[in-house]
Amino acid sequence: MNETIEQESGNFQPRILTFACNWCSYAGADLAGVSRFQYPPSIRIIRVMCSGRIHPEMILEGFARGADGVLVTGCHIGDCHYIKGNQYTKARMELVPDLLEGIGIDSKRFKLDWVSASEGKRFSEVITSFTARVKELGPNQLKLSNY
Amino acid sequence: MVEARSKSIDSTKPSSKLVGEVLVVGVGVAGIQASLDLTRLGYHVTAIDKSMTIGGIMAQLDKTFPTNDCSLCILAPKMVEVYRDPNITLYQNTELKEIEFLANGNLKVTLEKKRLGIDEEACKNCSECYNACPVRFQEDISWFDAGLNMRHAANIPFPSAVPPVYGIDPDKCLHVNFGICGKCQDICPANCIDFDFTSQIIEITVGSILFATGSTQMDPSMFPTLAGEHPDVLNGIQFERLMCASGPEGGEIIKLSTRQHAHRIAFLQCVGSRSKKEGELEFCSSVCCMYAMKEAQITKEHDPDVECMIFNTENRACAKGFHEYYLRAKDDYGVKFMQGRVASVKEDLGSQDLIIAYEDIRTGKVKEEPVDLVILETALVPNTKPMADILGIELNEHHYFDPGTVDSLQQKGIFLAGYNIKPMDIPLSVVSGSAAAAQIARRLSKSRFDRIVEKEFPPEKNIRQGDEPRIGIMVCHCGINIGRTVDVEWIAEEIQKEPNVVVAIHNYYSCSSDSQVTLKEMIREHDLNRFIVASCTPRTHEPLFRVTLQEAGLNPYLFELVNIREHVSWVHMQEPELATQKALELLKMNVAKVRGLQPQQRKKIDIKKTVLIIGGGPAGLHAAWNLAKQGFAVHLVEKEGTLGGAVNKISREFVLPRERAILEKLDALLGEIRNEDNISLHMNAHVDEVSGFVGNYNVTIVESSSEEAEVEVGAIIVATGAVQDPTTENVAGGNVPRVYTQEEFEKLIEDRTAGSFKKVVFIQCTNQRDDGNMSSDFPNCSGICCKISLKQAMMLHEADPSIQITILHRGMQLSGDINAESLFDDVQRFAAIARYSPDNYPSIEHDGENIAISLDEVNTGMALRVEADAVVLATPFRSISNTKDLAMKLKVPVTHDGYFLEAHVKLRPVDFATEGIFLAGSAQWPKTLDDAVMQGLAAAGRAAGLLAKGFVEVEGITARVDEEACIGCGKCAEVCPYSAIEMIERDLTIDMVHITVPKAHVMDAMCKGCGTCVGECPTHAIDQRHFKTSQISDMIKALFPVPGEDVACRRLAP
Repeated sequence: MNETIEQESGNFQPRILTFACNWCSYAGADLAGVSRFQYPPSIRIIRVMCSGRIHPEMILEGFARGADGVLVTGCHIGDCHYIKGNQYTKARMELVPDLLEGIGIDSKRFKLDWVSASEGKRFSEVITSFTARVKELGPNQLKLSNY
Repeated sequence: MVEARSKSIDSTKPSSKLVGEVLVVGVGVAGIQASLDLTRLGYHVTAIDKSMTIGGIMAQLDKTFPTNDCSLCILAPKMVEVYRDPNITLYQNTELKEIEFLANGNLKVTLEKKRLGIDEEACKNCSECYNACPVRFQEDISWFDAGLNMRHAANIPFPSAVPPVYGIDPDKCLHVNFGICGKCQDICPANCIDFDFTSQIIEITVGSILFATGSTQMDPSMFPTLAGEHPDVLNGIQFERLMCASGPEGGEIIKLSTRQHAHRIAFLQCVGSRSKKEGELEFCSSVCCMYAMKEAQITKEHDPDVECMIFNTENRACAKGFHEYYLRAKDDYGVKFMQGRVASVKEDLGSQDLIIAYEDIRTGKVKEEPVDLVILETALVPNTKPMADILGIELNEHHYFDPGTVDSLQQKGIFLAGYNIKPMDIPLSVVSGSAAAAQIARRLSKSRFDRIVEKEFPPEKNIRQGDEPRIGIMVCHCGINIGRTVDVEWIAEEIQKEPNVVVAIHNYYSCSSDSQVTLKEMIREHDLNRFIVASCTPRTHEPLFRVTLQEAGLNPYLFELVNIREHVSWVHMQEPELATQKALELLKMNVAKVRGLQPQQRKKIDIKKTVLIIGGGPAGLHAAWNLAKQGFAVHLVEKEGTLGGAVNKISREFVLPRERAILEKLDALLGEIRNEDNISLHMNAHVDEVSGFVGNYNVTIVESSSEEAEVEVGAIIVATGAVQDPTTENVAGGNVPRVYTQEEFEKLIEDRTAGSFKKVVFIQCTNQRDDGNMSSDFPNCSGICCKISLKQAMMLHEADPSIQITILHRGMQLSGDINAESLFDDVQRFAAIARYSPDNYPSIEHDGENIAISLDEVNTGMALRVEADAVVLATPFRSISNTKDLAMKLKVPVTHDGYFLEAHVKLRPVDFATEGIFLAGSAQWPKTLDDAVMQGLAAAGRAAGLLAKGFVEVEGITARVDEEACIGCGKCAEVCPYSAIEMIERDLTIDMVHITVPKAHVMDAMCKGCGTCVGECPTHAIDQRHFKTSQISDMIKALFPVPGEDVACRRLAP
């Protein structure tokens, strides 16, 4: 256990960089915990105050460093704690799949989803299904050489 | 913690003035709002609740209408805020026993607090006692899951209960009753179980008491004819628990008898309410129609194939956006609305199905249908009896105090909020809590801040550029909550190897008070300048550790909480190795983030202790008067030449008893307000320009004489009211004479012209409550017109009983008033009442002499023709014509109905999202007088709470601009939800040429720290404090390290 888990096929444990907003999706992850909804130990959450804080470059950086998947989560549209920050998230994240395909990363490795503070169950389901998808795609081969 | 806090109370010290201490009895949503407002207003609060947790009914709800927001998600942060507020002493399991009225006006109160066998201060909410307890029993309907769940003798109402303390039920505990077991005591890692069930008597002296004890929903078993004792017959709260994902069935909507999914659900409205039967309530509970529709919608979201039928005499959905909510339930979700009451519910002995019997209104035939679940939306009974007993005052037949009694109680310092006033929904409960706080602040204005404890901290250690980050880490076992799954000791060892980590320890409860001592000791001993705790969620525990850092002389922003419980140990219980790996990686990422943390200051901004009120109607007048008496200066802007607004349109000829007291007070205010030194009146005036931000608004007021006045104010209250739409031609035709709106008719009554009519017909819902077939631009229900028509009918009848009166309606909207049903009964004795279909508005014709109205009567199916010599139309009430213009000036939003939109429809009903601007009265939505007055007081309380200290603290994690990198594109300003970024001109000299270039500039006082601007900037010129782009990048690097990469930080980033 002292070393990073081996990423061999068969025993591949994907590592998914996950962004969560403080008010909805992070709270949804908290509720998943309180309710003991189990999901694969694949995600590593970076908490931001609003999903609108997330610059598309952060997602590219994650993939460049070796993330097998990147997940961006926020409040449902209309529920944003900051009125409309997530509307900009949506607009920006729509550009990401093309950017990824342009540099040779399967855009299926990227996902944007909304989870409210009350959706603990849904949070665990989103993580479970996205992890399964990334597992199927295998390890991210495009770990840039200059990193 | 509870006992420690009680020491701050100076008990029964005699004093000649009123003490700045308030007792709040009942800490549901109204009590929570009042408590939080009172501490902001400068008063210490003792809040008591008879149950184990605060939160009241709202904490039990699954979702809230009309947004279908998760109820606990929005309430829980407020519950935690109450718990953490140093100026609120919270006692759960506590009841008020006695009130003694002292000669100096103060109130000496005796409280009895029950102990539940657990040392509350020591309890860590780890649930070990619960898991060890072998006793299991079906809970009572008064419990959190409303009788649907099994409990242990050692228990807590729900996981996020506040205070987070377990308790033992002495009636069920084996140790207490038989001297055996004691398993909880053996296993409790915090040694907090002492089986002490004694009561503690607490005596304190307060300046005021607020009763907010809420309501209790009738037990379905009270209704045997509706099969109330059957396991598949639930009341509304029970069904909320059943639907809730964190409820006893995990949100599976099942028949409890067979545990199979329910496919057909009948919702029965008005059970035990609007009834003259013994033991039932005569008035409308006012919330059931809305929450039944919500329950049906949520059920449909779980499974669209479930058939949901709502049985009611009419659907009452008469506040902002409510009728559209109904249309959504009907048209989008396919909820069926059945007009009529269900006569009986029986169990079919063969199939064991529930069979409902009802009369089909259209055919007149009795129908029987099988259903899986029956939800009885039973009456909500006000919990006023214990309060009446203590005060020794009789309640009226509705279980309420008469208005006169309420007034005299207020004189003695006793106030009411929430359901203790009248039936109300969550937003109005919040309003009533804020309003009561404002009234108490007025009474205790001389004692403001007397009892307030300000926490004092040692001076902050100076963190200089060039200082190396020295990080201390505490990894928490959380009893065995984390330690059972995650190898906490190994993690503490591993993380200590990271650069800049000076010391890392592990302990059992990082949140306990002894751990706070350890933490401070670590900071001192190792000269730390950053700290990380790896335990649970920052959403509840970050404030605690931040305070500890401050106590150790460190800036509170030099801290990070890593969540290895909710996000790791509790969700990967079967994978300890991978969970441990994840926890370590999360810690490494946060070490990387923490290296870049910098001290942040919450700037204090001086503010003007002056309030601008726009609108001199009932809400504005009461707001002005309350603020002036609290000691604030007020500028009151009225567009007309006289004050009073809607009050001037109400005839004093015939006044309902409930209105009379309010009108008399308002009339008295109109006389006194001119002599009030703290109020400056601006008549025939309007607001021309507004600039500035919270605490410091500059407003230009233009008066009729085109004189301009510039005023500086700290807060603004918008109370511009509503007016009835005069348009009637589209339904009555231009050539029909004697067609009036209610407002016009009220004037005729006042002028005694109306008495000359012999046949008067009222038509409700004219050009409003549009079901999509009347091409009205006003889809919702104005909410007040049915009550106005009943009152006007009564006035006409009293003036001349020979006048023939007819009311044509679509289901009378009479919620929110305990006297409205009996008024309707009285009117029905002399007036003809007929109901028309929403698809078929009555036709109004004129043959040159008489007016004739034809309609298809719904209940009888007959075509009716009614003659009239005057027609009164209930057209929509609209917000004033310049609402949009004013909204633009104030930068606040407006709904598609043209009304101002509050910050949050449930919990911030009188706030705008823009700090320092508030909303009151019919500017929010048409209101009855009592509700408008309550809103005016609430807005005054909110504004005063903001201004009381003389400064505001602004968010510390604001955005900041690097002007070198800024290209002045203005994208950030475009996306800022708070208009906190302005584009400014900067002078620039390039090769001796002087130019001005645009640069973005963040107004700190308005920035809320969301970082949306940072996500938009094409040149990374704008960054967010505490969540810097470089820090997030460092976290990504730490998660995916490259061998040999140097990550250590030897000096602070600039």
